[in-house]
Amino acid sequence: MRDVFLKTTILTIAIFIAGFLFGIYVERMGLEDVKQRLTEIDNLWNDARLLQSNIQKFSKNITNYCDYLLDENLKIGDKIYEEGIKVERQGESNRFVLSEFILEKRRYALLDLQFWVNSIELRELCNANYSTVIFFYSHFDELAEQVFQGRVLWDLKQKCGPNIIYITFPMDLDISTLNVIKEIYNIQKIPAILINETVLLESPVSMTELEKYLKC
Amino acid sequence: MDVFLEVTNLIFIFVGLYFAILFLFLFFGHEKKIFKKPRIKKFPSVSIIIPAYNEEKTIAKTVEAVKKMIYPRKKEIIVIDDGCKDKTYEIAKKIRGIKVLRKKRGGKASALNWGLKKAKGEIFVCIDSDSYPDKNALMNSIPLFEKNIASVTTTVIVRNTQTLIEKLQQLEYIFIAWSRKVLEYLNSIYVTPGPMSLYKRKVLLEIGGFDEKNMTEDIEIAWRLMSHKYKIKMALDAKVSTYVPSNIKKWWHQRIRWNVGGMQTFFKYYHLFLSKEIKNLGMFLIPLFSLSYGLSILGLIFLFYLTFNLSRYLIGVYSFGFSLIGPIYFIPNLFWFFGFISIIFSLIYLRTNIKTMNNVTDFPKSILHFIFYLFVYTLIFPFNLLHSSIKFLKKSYEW
Repeated sequence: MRDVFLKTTILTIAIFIAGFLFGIYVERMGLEDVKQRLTEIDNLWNDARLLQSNIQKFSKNITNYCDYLLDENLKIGDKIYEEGIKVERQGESNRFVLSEFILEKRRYALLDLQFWVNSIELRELCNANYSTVIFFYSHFDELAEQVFQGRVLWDLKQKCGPNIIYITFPMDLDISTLNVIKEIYNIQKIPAILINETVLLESPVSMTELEKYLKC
Repeated sequence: MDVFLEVTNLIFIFVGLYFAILFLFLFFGHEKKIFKKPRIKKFPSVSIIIPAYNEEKTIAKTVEAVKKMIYPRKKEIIVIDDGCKDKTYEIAKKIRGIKVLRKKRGGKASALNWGLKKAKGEIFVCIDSDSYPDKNALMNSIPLFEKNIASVTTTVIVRNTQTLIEKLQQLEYIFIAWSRKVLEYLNSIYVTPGPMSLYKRKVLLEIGGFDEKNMTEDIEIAWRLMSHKYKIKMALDAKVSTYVPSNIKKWWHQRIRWNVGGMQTFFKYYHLFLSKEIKNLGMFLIPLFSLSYGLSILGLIFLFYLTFNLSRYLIGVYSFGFSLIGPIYFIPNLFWFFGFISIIFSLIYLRTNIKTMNNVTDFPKSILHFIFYLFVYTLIFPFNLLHSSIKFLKKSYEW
């Protein structure tokens, strides 16, 4: 009888080890996928940035190209937003490759920062009427309030589409620019929402309240 | 997902997988001889005891079924009226070829002990007064009484299968019968069910008969036999049909009795925990029952936690006004693997069970009942266990 218990124990442990190895393997694959996606966005971003600076440099009147530039910016914005959700989900499902994933998340946040700055510049340059909605959250403490606020903002993005540029920033990944932004806007508590670089709202904020500050 | 849910999930997966593999190993190691019986040279004499309390509706049919059981020797059939207030005694008295004895109300165990004193057969067969043994039940069970086998249990099947709760119990009883057969290979049959179980009378007398203070004398006697190093076998093809509770209230009450009786037995024999002398109890059953109790409580906490999270989420949906379903992305992780493996093992387990038990009884064919059994019925158990534990601690239980 001891034999059957021994066989069972060995097989169960073997299945568990296989499960953990599988987990590590798929997470590594997921991480590689995130890396590749971020490289693609990085390339897209560099291309768009270069296009904008060249137009600014060689064109006499940049406003002639505004529609094109805004369109490109929006496409990249949508791409960053889409990929951002996937990166978030990947992060939530990760158990083993946490530190490497944080590096990628920082990279993503930096891309988002560049995109945010560019969106502000373009809006001023082209007199565009989209709003920016920036969500500051914590990467490490997933509070229910934060999850709910994220869901409200997701709904808002679905509703408003290209009329809003929605960007999320993890505030506890030690990114110096974000630390400075925190000081500039005097962000005392996260989650918080910054609308059009002027209105800072502390969570929880309902959809109706958000819509008061936006042209959706 | 947070850490508590994940760790709990992993514990459940590990334990579930371990026991599924253990049972499959045990089953496939003995598959060919599952219905085999030793040849018997001389059939022992049998006494069939039917304790009854207010069973005027069923007693005649039960006795008829008992009389119809094939056996090469004369059967001693004794109906014990345990202080009935209805016409059980009068009805039983009219039936020829049986003894009907009357005593003051003392409970089922007391009636069985009374019968034990009066019976003369070598094999003492206990049959509930609302149960109906198959005509081959004796012929399929008696040959299993080899040396050191003190008791043989039978396959209990459900007679009333109209309501949903009855259908779910029908499935449950079939699974239980299969599991009991597998537990036989570990000498760990932990109950000799009331509807029909057989004992060597000499052994019962030697160990002092049934415990009259226990709510489930059929569990206690099995543990006592094991504690005296006796073995119990399961005759899978010896069938007895019985009536099960027809509504959730009666079902709940019955399970509380089972659980409280189980707890009484558990604490009575807890001193044998990790005993190397009585290995089946000390090294397997007592740790197994401790583990399953712990897991049930953990399961309850898990359910409460999930419910709490879900209600918090719904409150969030209501107060924040966001849509119920958010962005959905499937990202594989280690739980996918464990989920897949668990499904595979569950299907193998189910398939093995169905294949074997189809030789014994008709399996319910509705997939819906299977699904309901797995995902709803089994979830009620931890709540019942909690209620039983409270009753046990308060000592507020009765038949």
